[in-house]
Amino acid sequence: MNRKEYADRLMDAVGKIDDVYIYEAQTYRAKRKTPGYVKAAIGLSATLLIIISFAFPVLLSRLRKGGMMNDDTRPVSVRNQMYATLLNSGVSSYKELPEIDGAALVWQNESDMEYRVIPLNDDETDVIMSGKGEPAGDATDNGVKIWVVTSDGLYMTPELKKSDGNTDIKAFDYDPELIIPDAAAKAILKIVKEER
Amino acid sequence: MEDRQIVDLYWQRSEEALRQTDVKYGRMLFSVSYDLTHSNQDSEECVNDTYYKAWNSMPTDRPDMLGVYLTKIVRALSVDRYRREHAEKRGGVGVATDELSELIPSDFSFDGYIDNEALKDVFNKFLGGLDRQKRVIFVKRYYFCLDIETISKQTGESVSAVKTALFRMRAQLGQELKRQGLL
Repeated sequence: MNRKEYADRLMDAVGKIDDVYIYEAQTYRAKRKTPGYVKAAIGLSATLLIIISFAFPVLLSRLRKGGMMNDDTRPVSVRNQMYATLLNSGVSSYKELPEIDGAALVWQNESDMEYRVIPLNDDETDVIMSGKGEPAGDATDNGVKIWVVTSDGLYMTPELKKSDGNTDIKAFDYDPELIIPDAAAKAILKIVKEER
Repeated sequence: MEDRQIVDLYWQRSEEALRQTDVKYGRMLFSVSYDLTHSNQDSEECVNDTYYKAWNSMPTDRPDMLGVYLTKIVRALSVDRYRREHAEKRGGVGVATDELSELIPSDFSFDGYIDNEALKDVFNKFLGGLDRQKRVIFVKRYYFCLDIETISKQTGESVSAVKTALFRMRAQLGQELKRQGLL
């Protein structure tokens, strides 16, 4: 047997290898290399995710301080609805504050500086004045001033801290300090919409 | 159609077996044969001969992997056809055989008997010891006689990496054949 004949025998022997190796080679699929642009996109997404995860708490904190979110971190739509409703309600208005008998919701639109009054019951008074509002810092003036008058004749504002100096409608310069809690805003909204 | 169902048709002596075989494996068998013979006519004849051999072998054979079973038949036929008709080596079987002959000493001469089963066992053991990627490269080159560029594309390896891998595997195979007293 010479070299060529032996090489032919080797080729014949290759033809007799186990089926599993033939099947493996026939069905083999090379691993697809991830294109460069896909790797770049993944890297950029991961970087953005890291930045957002660090930056989001800081942003949230600043939004809270800025008065744009309540302590429930929910959007301000309820309060905005309330302010809009107070500004646009059809309740009769007075140039001078009228005599108020019993509890009432009083608000003054800065557009016309006129007062509007809706009687309240004790439960409604409690709801509006309950809960603690978040200190707002430099709170945005929403174009309306709100008071709750108790059955004792005490004027209290949901937007100001409860102090003796803040319980006389004529004795202070109204400057919102607190964010009205959602429950209070919802209650005011409901009351004004019913237009009692 | 599943392989099992096609094999059942062979056993039932239904000519539908041949039609289904051609539908499922015709192109693959032609491709395997062409890579070995580099001739359309030879490949067509080898594929037809493969169907004839399959018809005569089933029954009694009942292969689990019909595709592989047919591949082995068409390869053997294609290698024989190539050797019979092509004195000049120009690719396919010729090139692969030349490469394997590199591990055989140039002054090789042997008057004794070399057991085909022993050679087969050496190859199987050798392939079993390789990692998957290298084994696939070896089988694609020396079983299917694919060219280096095609192997490179199919395995995702560079041409030089494939050439290097084949060179080293031939050297390892040569050592194993010597160790077994077959070289």
